[in-house]
Amino acid sequence: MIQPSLWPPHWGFVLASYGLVITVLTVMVGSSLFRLRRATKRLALLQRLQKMAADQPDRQEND
Amino acid sequence: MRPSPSSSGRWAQSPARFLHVTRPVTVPCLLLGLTVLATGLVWGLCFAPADWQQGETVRIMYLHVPMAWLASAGYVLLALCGVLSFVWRHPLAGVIALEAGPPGAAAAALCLITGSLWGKPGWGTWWVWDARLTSMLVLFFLYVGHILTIRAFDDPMRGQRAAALLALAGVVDLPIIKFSVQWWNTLHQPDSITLTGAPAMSMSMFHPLLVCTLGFTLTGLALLLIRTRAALLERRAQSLALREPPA
Repeated sequence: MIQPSLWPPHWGFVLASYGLVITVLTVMVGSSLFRLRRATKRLALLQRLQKMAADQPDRQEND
Repeated sequence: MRPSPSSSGRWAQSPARFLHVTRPVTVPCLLLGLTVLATGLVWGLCFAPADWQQGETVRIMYLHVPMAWLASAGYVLLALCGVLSFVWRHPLAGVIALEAGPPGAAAAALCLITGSLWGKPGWGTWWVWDARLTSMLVLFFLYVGHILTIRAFDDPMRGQRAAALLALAGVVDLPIIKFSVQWWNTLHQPDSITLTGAPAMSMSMFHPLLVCTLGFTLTGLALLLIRTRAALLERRAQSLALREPPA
């Protein structure tokens, strides 16, 4: 491995830029995907509960 | 009397239709964007040549230029959404404007930071009150203002209308950013890429720049689709949760 003191000049500025942009992009895409997944699951759960609540009186009538 | 939107735009008015249409597109768009972006970034970082004058720091261009493009294009989108929600009260335009603000602000901030990291070794300073840099900073503040305004009201419609006005007023900053290097004597270099002329850079640098720009654009589009879909699903879930259970 090349010693950091022997790295090409200003390489640190380049790596800092790439690191920062990739980190921000990863955080934004990751958090948005997590938010979408959570919203999808919550909606599916609520729809299931709504359907169960709608079906309940019918079952009572049948009993 | 309010003008009616064109028939071609009617499909996009329904959030349910938007969710249906964008569902199969979102993940492929994200995967394609990330693949193109990874290709462009590796190409720019490892295989593109260093500049004879700037040396290795020219590689920051593969991030800085796409970020500037995304920040400007994102603000054009905010302004378009502003027109749609202000004139036609388009139900989706307000949601898209709400979700496009934070990624746009991030792009503007990253453009400024990468520009600063590029400027220090090149110009010998982190920042100058140059016309191009200052107008880009104004764009960042416009984004921050839009994000705060659209969330500042209890009534979301009022927030959307106020933010739409701000977005429309802020559009004047975009030509200032574009032409600042021609109108004023600036430290920032003139545009290297124009629509009419050949690029003022080697093709071995221009091609990875194009790939990076395409990758960032596709990833940004996918991010906007993901955020808008999430917001619409959250609203639908909220309205379902507030609905009275059947008697």
